[in-house]
Amino acid sequence: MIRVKNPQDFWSGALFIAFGAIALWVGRNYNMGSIVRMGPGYLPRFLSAALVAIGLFLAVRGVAINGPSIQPSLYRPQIFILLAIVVFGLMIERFGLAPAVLVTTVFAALASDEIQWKETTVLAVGMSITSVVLFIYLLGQTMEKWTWGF
Amino acid sequence: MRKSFPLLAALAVAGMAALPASPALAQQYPDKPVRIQLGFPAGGGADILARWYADKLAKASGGTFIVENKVGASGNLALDATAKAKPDGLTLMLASTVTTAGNAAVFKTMPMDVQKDIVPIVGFAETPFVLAVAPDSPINSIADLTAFIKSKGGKAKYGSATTSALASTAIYLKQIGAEATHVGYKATANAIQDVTGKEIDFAFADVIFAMGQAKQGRIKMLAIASDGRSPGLPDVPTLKELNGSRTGDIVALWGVWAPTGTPKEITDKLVAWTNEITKSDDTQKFLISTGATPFVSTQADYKNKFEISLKAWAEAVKLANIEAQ
Amino acid sequence: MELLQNLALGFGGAVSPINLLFCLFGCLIGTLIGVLPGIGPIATIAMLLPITFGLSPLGALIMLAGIYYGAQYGGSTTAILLKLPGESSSVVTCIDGYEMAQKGRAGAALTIAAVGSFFAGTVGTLLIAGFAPILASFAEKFRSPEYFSLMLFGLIAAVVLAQGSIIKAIGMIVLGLLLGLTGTESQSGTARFTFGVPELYDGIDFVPLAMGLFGFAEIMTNLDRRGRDRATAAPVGGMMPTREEIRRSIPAILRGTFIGSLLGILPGGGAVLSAFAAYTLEKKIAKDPSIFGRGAVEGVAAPESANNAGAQTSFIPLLTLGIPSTPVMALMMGAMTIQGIAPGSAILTERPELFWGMIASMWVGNLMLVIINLPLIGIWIKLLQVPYRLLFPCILVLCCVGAYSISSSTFLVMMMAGFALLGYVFAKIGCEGAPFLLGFVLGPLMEENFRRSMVLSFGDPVIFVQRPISLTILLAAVALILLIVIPQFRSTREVAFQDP
Repeated sequence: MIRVKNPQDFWSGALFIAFGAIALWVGRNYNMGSIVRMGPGYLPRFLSAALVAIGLFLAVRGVAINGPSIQPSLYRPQIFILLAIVVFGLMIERFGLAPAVLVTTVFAALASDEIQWKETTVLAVGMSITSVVLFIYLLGQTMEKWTWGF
Repeated sequence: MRKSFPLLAALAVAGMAALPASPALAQQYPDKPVRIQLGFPAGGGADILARWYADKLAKASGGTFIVENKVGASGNLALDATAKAKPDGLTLMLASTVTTAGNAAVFKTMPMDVQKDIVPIVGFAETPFVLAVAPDSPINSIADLTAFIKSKGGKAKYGSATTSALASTAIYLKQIGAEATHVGYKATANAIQDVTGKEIDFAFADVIFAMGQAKQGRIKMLAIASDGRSPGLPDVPTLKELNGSRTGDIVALWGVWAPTGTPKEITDKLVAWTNEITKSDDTQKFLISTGATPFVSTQADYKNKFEISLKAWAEAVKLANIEAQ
Repeated sequence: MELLQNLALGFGGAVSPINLLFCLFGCLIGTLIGVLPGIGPIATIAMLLPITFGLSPLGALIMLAGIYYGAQYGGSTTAILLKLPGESSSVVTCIDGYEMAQKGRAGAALTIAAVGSFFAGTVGTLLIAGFAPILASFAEKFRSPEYFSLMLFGLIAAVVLAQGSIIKAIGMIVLGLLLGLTGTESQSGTARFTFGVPELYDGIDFVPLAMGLFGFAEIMTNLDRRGRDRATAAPVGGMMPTREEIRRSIPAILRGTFIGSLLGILPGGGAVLSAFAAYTLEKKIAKDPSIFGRGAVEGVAAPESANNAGAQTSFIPLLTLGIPSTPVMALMMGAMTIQGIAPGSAILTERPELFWGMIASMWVGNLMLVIINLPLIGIWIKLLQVPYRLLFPCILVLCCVGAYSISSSTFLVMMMAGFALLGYVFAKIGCEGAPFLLGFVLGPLMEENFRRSMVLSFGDPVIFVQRPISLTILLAAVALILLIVIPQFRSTREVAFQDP
């Protein structure tokens, strides 16, 4: 088992390799052309290859040279923040702005373990009203206040 | 008004929407805000046209008309949103035949069927392309340009920022039986700047932009790509009259569209309102000052133009060798 | 003398009570949308366009222009307070502005940003008044090859932005470039990296990308930190900059204004570079570059001034050539068209009262904004005292609504969630967002201009060195590489010697 001495570099490298490899695969059919008559595939392929190369360098360096470790995640903030955004995306067109903001605020507040329920309820209702007034009435955005559409 | 007990209200509304619209309902149309789908970003020429008409439609009908910029995939997102909307007159689309007929020809797969899912209601303006060269160029007519392109043996350079410009050039080149080198641009303004700066030899540009540039002496307009001359540019001859190029068939004819199945009572009203707006003095002045040609028509006229456009686009795409997506 | 007469004519039109009111209204709306993440000036101006149908041409243009500068001023507020860049130009302000806010210098950062913007706006306005035609003819010399060289220079400068490992920064630039290529390619029409999603055909929208990568990643990182050590809220200092901060800001504002004015006049991509270029210059000439990224006041003063100078001078191509250099300018052009005015040199001769009135209103607008903004700063920094557990859900909601409003698309909201995760991972593994975003913005421009140059020259790369401007920029790029590489080489050697 190889011991990773610099996890930040190592995982950056891994990420770059992954992105580069995916881009190479997705772009495999784009027409290359030549440097003089570049096709749409020329630059993507060049960049993907460069990214893989940089990734390899970083990964190897990460194994070889000591460096800072990665701070551990709590997972709770990440899960609820991402969930809150996704919930907003799912709700805005089906239920309208007010309900979407209401639920999203609650999900977002859950990301912090300092959450207090009474306060969050007030905040959610307040944000709901504010966003309707601000975005729909004041800024004239084309969104439904509330609706029911599937 | 929407109620706060959404489920019941929604059921009631859904039930009502399912019934055929009664004349009484059409009488009050539009009793709710009408969303006009537009496949172009806020602020462009199309957006200004759309907002002009939305504003006037609201005044004519006493209702609310909102322009919704559904930008993406060359207007396909707006087409798709319109096709999937309820045919209740509350979702309309403002688009030209370039987006509807043109996209049907350019895209290998379309999210919807332009002939089945949406219907043309009424046209109102044609925004043709003009063929431009540098102001101090020795080329002074289409005949000069044709001779110049032939003498260059494929090395004459032309710019295009849109499929329309590309297809128009292809039709013209086919007509004169010559070839030229294509230079692609993201915006017409950049292509025209390169015409002025003589980086390229000629380009088709939309009339709104080209007119302003010609006025400042930054380009020379040799011909217009529509069937008839534009009332704002009576001195610019058409390509059709000069050498018979049928670029007029793919010209952008703007109009109001709706999902198939929109009640006739509603579409009849839209036809009447739109024609009334187009005929009004300030709209005529606005359209002509931008180089557009006002177009007052029945639903059948617009449909007919759309069908001609469909055929012409299918041919033009093959001619221009535009890569299907 | 003639200039003074013209300006007098302009002020005569601009300071009429009704036009001042339009200007104020525009500035207020602009500040509001600038502060709201995701809601940009373009959507707002487009929405207000029908209202202008009935106004006088000068009143209409004054109001719309006010929205534009207002958004510029407001945009820096969220960048500094919350690390939320509203547009590409405020990305750089995030770097040091947010760090200053973390150290309790939010008020000072905002004050310097506002004053710097005002100064830059004044200079930009004077440049338009005095030299618009000359500057426009200079801008006309920039064609595809020059743009390619300029973008290349910008990318190399992006390496200087990096605070940590240079190789990682290069990786991030390359990744940004690659992501920037998403969408329909302009020469052949090939759809690249779209995965069949129609929303991606026109490329990835900048706003959800920047909000995800910066704002959300910051929220998640913050919550991790608070969950561990229950840190109290960031200290809130006063709004006055210290004497030391003022001393360091003044030259930075001057340099930023110069760079911004110059790049702002280039249609099609020059303005994007101005803030980055100004920041890079500050970092390169600083005695101690290590303070950058830790709350250097120059890192706020220079890019903010550059931004606003560029925002002013980007009117030049529109007013003199009738060529819109940015989407907002295209919109201004639309507003003029509706009013029956053909933008371009003709305005100056046919409608001098309109031309000079607009110029006068630019200065009045900038003055109004600085007057509106300075008292607001006190309110903004109070926001930082709101408990974080209440603040971050509000930011999240505003960002979601903003992302959705861009094109009424839930896809953009979902994409923002994806970028939020990516941004968090980047932060964890020490990859920086700024070089990534610069690559993202410049990638497609660079490719487009390179390929077009090659078509124009029938495949002869000599085109890039034949043209004097292009050649000059390329030589400057080489010099910059040497500046980056030499100290790097030296320091690795030192490290090698010290650390056997």
